[in-house]
Amino acid sequence: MKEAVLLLGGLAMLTAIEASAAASPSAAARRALAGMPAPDFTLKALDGRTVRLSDFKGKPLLVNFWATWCRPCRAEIPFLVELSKKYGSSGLEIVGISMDEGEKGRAQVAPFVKQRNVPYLILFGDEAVAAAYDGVPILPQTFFIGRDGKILGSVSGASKTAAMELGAQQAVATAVPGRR
Amino acid sequence: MKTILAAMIGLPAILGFAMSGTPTEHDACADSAGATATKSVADKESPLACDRTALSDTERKRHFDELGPMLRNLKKSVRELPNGYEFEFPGDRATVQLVEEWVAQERACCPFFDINVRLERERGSVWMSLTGREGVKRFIEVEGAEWIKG
Repeated sequence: MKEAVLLLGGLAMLTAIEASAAASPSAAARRALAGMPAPDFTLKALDGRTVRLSDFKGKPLLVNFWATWCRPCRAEIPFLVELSKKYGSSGLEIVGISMDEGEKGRAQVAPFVKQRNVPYLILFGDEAVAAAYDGVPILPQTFFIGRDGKILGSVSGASKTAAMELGAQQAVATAVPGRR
Repeated sequence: MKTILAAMIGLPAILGFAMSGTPTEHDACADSAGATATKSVADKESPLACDRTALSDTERKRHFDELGPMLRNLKKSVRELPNGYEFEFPGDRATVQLVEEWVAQERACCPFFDINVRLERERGSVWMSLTGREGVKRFIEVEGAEWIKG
């Protein structure tokens, strides 16, 4: 109960922050995704296997768009690793979608992931998946998806640890579909 | 109690996108509002993020793989500032042009930086500072460590 109250308090805080943000067509489009089923995707993983969003059915998910050249993305990775450890036991899955372009760009992903000991799944993104998630105009951008497969919200930019943790908590707190 | 909990679970769905934003939306960050920022700048504060579409693939390669390493090699000294760092470069024309090119791309890609370029008189050094709101200095220290080391 205490946790739920804290969660509500945090949400109120975040709502107040957003109230000062100016509206734009892009923001409006992303708000329209709130509560909607997360767009499915089929992407290649680092190890070559094909991964679909629907493979994570029933699991709370954090989808992080990033790139090796994006310094804020790199700065954010240790915190994502922390979230992965903290909420992994609650079922949270983290999926990093690399937006590195071209053969050369993509070739940098595996060494980077190895060097930084990134423990979560990394997929190679493309413009189609970016478009499905409202273009992903900036990196990093993180979407939180509940166990019901619906988008709970997103965080744009790094260093928003409170918002990121709140998003992870929200995703983990969602009910398993079909259960009461 | 069940109703309250259900409402709590439903609330994030309503408020979920309270956390979203893009540079063009002048998003207000949770960790934003640097004390020295003017109101107009603070109103437009973008997240600590890269604009994915600001640079073409070629420009990005030039920026990160060529210009950055070139400037780091040319760097003469580094000064720590309260909210960032200042880098000294030789004052020759070629270096001035490299700094200009790098700054134009960096500004496009990373709008969260305050960038100042100062050219000393008598063709003295070029000084370029990267500063910003709270968190930016730490960000430079972590992800721009190669710029800071001597």
